[in-house]
Amino acid sequence: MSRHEQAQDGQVRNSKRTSDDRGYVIAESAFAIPMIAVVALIATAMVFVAMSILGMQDAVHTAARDIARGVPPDAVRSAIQMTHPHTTVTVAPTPQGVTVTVHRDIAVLGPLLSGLSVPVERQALVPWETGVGL
Amino acid sequence: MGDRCRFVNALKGEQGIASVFALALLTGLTVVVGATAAMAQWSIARSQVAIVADLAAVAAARQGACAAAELTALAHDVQLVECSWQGTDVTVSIGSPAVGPAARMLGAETIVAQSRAGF
Repeated sequence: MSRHEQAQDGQVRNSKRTSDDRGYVIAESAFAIPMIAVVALIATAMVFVAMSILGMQDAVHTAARDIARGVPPDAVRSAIQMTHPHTTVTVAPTPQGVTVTVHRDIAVLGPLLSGLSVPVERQALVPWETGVGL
Repeated sequence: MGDRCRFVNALKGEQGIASVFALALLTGLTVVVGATAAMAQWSIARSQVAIVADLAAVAAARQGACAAAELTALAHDVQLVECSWQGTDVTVSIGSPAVGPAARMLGAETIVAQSRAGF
């Protein structure tokens, strides 16, 4: 068999293999790509929830400090709700100090799937400053 | 020899190659998701302990007594490790048991945060 004939034979075999396998990559990708997208979405949602929890921790810390210093609870409540919408702020003053609780249902995928939410609650207790208290 | 030929022939086709790549990618992504979750848990726990240390230090400085720091720590379910005065400044250390896979990986048994406040 001459070199030209060998090359032609190789081309025929290559084209036959391609025609046998045609569609497999697409079919497998159609199954695999959504799976990869779901895993990537879960990772993104987890980071989003973690960032929200960290933000709420800071907010409740600041709020408790402010109330213990004598800032009116309503002002603190509206300040939190401005930076963290859809949160419920509970202020419980006791003789020892003030307990501030912030509750929020974090929508894991934002507006995409509002039914899927994680309830998160953060709490901080701060003793009253001198001259402030019940 | 026969097995080797079958393996080489299987590699010549493209059937299954996308699944192999996808499986490798999925495995990698799953590891990344697990690591992300562990680090997120660790960061949240560390942040919580640091915040309580801040609150305890300020409480101790304002009331002039380590008892206020201890009260604040207990109210947040963490322990007061150390409370020391240097003039009008108080340094407070707060400790909390470390839980989760990140803590095991890092070999940390407790999360300790230190804060200083003065009046």
